Amino acid sequence: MFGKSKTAYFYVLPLVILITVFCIYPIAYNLFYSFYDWNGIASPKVYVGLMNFLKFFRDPVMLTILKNTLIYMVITASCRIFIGMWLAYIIKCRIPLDGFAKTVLYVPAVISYAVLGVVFSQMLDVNYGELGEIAAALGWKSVLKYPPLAYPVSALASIIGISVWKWTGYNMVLYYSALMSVPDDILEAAVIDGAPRRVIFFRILFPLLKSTHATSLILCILGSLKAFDVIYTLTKGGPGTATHFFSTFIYFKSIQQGRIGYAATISTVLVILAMIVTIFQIRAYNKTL
Amino acid sequence: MMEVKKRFYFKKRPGMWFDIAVMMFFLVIILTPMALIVRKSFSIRGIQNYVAVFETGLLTNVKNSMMIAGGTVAIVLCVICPAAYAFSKFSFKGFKMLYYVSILGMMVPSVVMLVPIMLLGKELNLMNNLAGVIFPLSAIIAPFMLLILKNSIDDHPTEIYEAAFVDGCSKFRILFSVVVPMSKPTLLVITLFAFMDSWNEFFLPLALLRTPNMMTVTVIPMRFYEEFGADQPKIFAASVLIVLPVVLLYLLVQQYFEAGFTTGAVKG
Repeated sequence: MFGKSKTAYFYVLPLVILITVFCIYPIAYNLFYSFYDWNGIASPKVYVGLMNFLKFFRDPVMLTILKNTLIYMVITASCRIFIGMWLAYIIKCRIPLDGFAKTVLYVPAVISYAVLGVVFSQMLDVNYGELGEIAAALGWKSVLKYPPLAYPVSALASIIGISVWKWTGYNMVLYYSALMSVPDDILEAAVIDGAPRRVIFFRILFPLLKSTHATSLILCILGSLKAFDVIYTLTKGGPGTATHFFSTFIYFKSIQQGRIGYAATISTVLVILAMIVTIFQIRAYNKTL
Repeated sequence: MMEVKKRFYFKKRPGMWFDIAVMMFFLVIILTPMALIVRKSFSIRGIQNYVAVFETGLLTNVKNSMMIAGGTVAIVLCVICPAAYAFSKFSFKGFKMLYYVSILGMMVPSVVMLVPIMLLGKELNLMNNLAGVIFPLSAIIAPFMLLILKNSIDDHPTEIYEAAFVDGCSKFRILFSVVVPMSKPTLLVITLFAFMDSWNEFFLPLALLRTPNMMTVTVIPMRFYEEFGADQPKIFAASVLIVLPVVLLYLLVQQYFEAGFTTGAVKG
């Protein structure tokens, strides 16, 4: 409204400096070193062209990472979206103590992911943890022979389970606020016309909340690309390399093995994937705004 | 901001009991792990578990987390207020590009920053230093908060700005006399979100802080795990202590949380 103004640059300058130093510079840095073989601070840097990229695409761990990320993305997104919207709809329709339910369901979202990972790694222990206790109480002796974090499938399932446990309440609140902005006349008209609640949910509300689905979906996709805390504290990518995700693998390559060049390559691939998602997000925002 | 709105609902609907059953099921799933954690934190030695955790110096870590969270909130607020004002009320060359670039920070996974920031930290002597965590953390958190604040400033009536300008208020003073006072509820929400995000941040402290007395509360349970071995009650007591402040804060201010969802995040 103030029109063109040179002083505006002055207002955005601090933010731009912050973003440049801590987001753009690291991206450029990674892009530069992804063409080098460099194993640490002192050793010589060797230009290797696209060798690092070729190596990554041939690395068997790459397939594991992609598979884990995809499975995590699909399962968490569908659980968070459907359960979140279902619970929001129940609260919108009112049940006794719905305010209390809403408060409790959101609590996991404010709990530190890292703390959850540590605590769940203890609880999932078959000898000393709650899982063993519950299995023993129910007489499921066979569970005691298979520690869930020692097998790839159950370890990944544990990571996904904790993620869904933590974030479903968040999505519930997201959907609840979106449902509150749906005009009541629509619902009243549907009720007068005799539409069953299932129909109202799937045929009226579900299509109406498109922009909320888009927001949730993008949050889930970015979440799967960024996932680190719970994997690091729960499985450290193990057993073997079976539960590695982008972030954990980059962390292990760069911090523990000092393979800076290779880690930079994977970082670059990750940034490109995140950028693609971002472009879709900006498009989605522009459409709904 | 919290308008009381009569909600539409189905009176005496047939599916009520089914809904209650579904809700009970999910509440049990959410509450059971929490109850088990609290139960175990008191097992064997009761409250002594908590005493033992305090004796390991948890308060130092709490202080570190507080300083990181406080510093991050301060930087985020200082940086986004003028920026959101400019993006909302001014136009300038490269406006769109700068805005998208700022939002882009939201998408960059923090692991990508790791090596460059560590080297930068070594150059500037910020390794194992709280300030070395605060700045990158602000850069991660700021974009999303900018989005929320800009959306809220977009909704301010233009007349107020025009009136202030006509009355001789400079564009710079408008920032403090109009934008900030009018955005107070949103700024409160932003403060809460930013505080919780930085309190819960795990990756940057893990990578950038080395000695135990510099670590934050999210990193410390892993050390307890190594230190106490299989002494689970102490690990669980520490976890409860770490999580408790944030949960209590949330319970105290939950109505503002919901307002935050409606004002900013969902709009897009």
